[in-house]
Amino acid sequence: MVGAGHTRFGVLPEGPRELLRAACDAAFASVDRGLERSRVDEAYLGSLGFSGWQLGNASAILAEEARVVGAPVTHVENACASAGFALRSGARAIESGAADLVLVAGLEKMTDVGSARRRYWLGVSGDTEWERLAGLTFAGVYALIAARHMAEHGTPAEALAEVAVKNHDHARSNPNAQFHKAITRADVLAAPRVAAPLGLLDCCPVSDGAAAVLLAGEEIARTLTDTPVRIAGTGAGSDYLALQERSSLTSLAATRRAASEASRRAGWGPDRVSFAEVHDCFTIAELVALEDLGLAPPGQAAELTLSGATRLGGRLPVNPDGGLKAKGHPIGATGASQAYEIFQQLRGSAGRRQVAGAERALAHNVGGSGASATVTLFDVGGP
Amino acid sequence: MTRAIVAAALYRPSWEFEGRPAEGPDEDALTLAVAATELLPHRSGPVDRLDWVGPSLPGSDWALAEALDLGHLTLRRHVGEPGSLFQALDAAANAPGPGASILVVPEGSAPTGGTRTYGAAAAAFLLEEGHGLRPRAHGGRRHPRGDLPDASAWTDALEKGSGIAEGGPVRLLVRARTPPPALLVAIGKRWPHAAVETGPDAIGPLAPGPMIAEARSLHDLAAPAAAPASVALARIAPDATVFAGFESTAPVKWTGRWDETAPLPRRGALAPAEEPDLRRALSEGAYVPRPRYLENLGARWRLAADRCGACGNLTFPPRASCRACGRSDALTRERLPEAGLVEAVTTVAPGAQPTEFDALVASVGAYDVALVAFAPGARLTLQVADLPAGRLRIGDTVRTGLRRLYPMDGEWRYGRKALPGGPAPTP
Repeated sequence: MVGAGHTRFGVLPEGPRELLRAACDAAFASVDRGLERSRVDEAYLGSLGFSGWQLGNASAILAEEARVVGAPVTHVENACASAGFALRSGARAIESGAADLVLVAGLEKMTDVGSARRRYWLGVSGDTEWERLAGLTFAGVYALIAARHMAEHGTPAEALAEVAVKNHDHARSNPNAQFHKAITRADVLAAPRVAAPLGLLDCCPVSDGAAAVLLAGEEIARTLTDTPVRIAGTGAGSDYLALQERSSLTSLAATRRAASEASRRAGWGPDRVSFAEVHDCFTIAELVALEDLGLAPPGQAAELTLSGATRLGGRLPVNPDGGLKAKGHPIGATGASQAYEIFQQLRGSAGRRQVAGAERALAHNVGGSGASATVTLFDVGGP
Repeated sequence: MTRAIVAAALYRPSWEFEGRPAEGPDEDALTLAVAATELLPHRSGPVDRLDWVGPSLPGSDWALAEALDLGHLTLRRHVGEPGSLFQALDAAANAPGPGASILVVPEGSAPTGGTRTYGAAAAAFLLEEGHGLRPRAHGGRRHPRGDLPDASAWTDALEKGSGIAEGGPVRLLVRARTPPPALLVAIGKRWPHAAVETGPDAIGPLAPGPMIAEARSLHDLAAPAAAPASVALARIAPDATVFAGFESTAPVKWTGRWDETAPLPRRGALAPAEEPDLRRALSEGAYVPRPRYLENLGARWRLAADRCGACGNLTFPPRASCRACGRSDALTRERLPEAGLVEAVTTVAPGAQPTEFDALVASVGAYDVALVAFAPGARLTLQVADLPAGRLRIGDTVRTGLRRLYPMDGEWRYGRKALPGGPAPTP
């Protein structure tokens, strides 16, 4: 990665075009020695569908707003993991030698539609016939995971609450985050239930936003900046769309497969990271992710979280940017936003939320309730 | 050889609306008919005839047979008029051949829309060749419009009915728990009023005595406490009194609550909610094209799964090949067990429901959704019905019933929901 850009996340006045333009402009501007846009020879757009405003051929919007018209652009849709998969596609285009310079952008505009239509879009990535039409949106699906996790492992509600408290606290140091308000465990536990056992403060918000990163082959990258961030290995996986068909209700096989592949390609694994960006669309998702990534033994993510180890300043900071929970979750932008955070952190430019001595990191991006997932390992490269 | 009633079942919804018993927000004539029929004991042989008395069912006549997995048979609908039930009984009893007939009498709102039905219920009868309860004669009369019924409206009919009652006492069908030698059915929503208005002479012939073992007023539909054991039958003839005679040669197996005086446990009060306009129920949500819905009916309506003869794995919902070994040449359909175990459950609060369930939430508020395991490898995500939200627990046993799921493309779509209780699942 030689450049990265990010808009604010939240309820924003800007439309999809303005958001993409701002994120891409910022990414190009961040390249230390500058980069001609004409050198981009491939681009990927991660997005779900920005509420149906431009469902088909949305890739052209990226070409236009990034001012790379002419370069091939592919729209990648894997629900909330769209940009994670777009990033993986970009990295593989470079790995294969097919491309030298790749733009990866993620975008979602979610707040410009009525509440009924928004609820529709929030549910389109679940299993339509067997989950949604049994009465579940994603909050409900993750609530089933949480209920089962609590029953099997004795996971306390306080551990779920602590995920929200920690990520809200982290987001206070992130100017791009949707929320800058500290909350307490009591706030989380007393919030209205959305889908029991999950309450309002266990859920990520509905957000607008975009993020973009620029990828280059290692030799070219060294000509553009002295401090590129290296994608050491990418991994991805898939699973059954509906929870009811999966072997486990408390673990995402797609994450485990993705982590294993990324480790194999990088030559090192999640146990070596200085911090992790994980997919915490709901508080339970962060606990499940920690276990699936091997950062906590099965059933023990709650204990790890309650110990404070995953806070900034702890042994293994998780989601220093506030995560999906407090930074915001514009669905298709999240994978690119995670890469943006890692770009800042591994270059030591994350400001007040800087993880001291960060050298390795991982980004974990999940589509829906786990039908798709990516894990990407990053380091500072070099000899 | 004619067929005789060998079993009868009654299903009554247990919701309240405006202080009266009413069908649930996800119930209608189709789901009531299925619920009553599923209460009948398992049949020994194939059913070759299905009669029902009541409204048109969704799609076309096939819906009820499809839901009950009855295969090819003769379908007959009998329009709800005075005496229809008994014409239908005659028809079902006199069907040719050695098979069995099912007669269903659903009384609930039509699946094509309409307002909530008070006192909804459904009765189902299984008729087989051989001994049982045989319909022998019936008669009835519509009450003159605007007038109270005169005594002759039913004394005439009683004379017909009493003709077959010689030699034994007569009972009301809906009260009969043991096989009487003969039975008199009397149906009429105005009977209680008539009894009051016309005096004891009018009901004299129906008082207990040598002819009648037991005579009780049937409920008036307007009575708030009406527990509608008889209502499903009475509504067929809302303005008439009908009598029918039966003779009994063997005990009938009665299932369901036939005792009208015992209160049903109430699931809760329904809030007034707009019935969705089915013509306008276009999707502001997930869309399931009608052919995709129809191709899944086996799984949705009857919990049909694929058993792999090669590796023994059960695949649900069926996907044309075995999920474990991938083979597609050794699959046989089998129905999932009746009861399942709750593995996880959530309560969906108002506002968190998919838009398709807005009308349901307006009626009942929060609802539960559970992941239920019916067999190894066969789990199902099921909305929970007939139980207040937040009651179901992991480890509970549930059974299933056919209910309305969501409106789409001008029709109600149906599927199974989890219902409280049921036999313990087989391990």
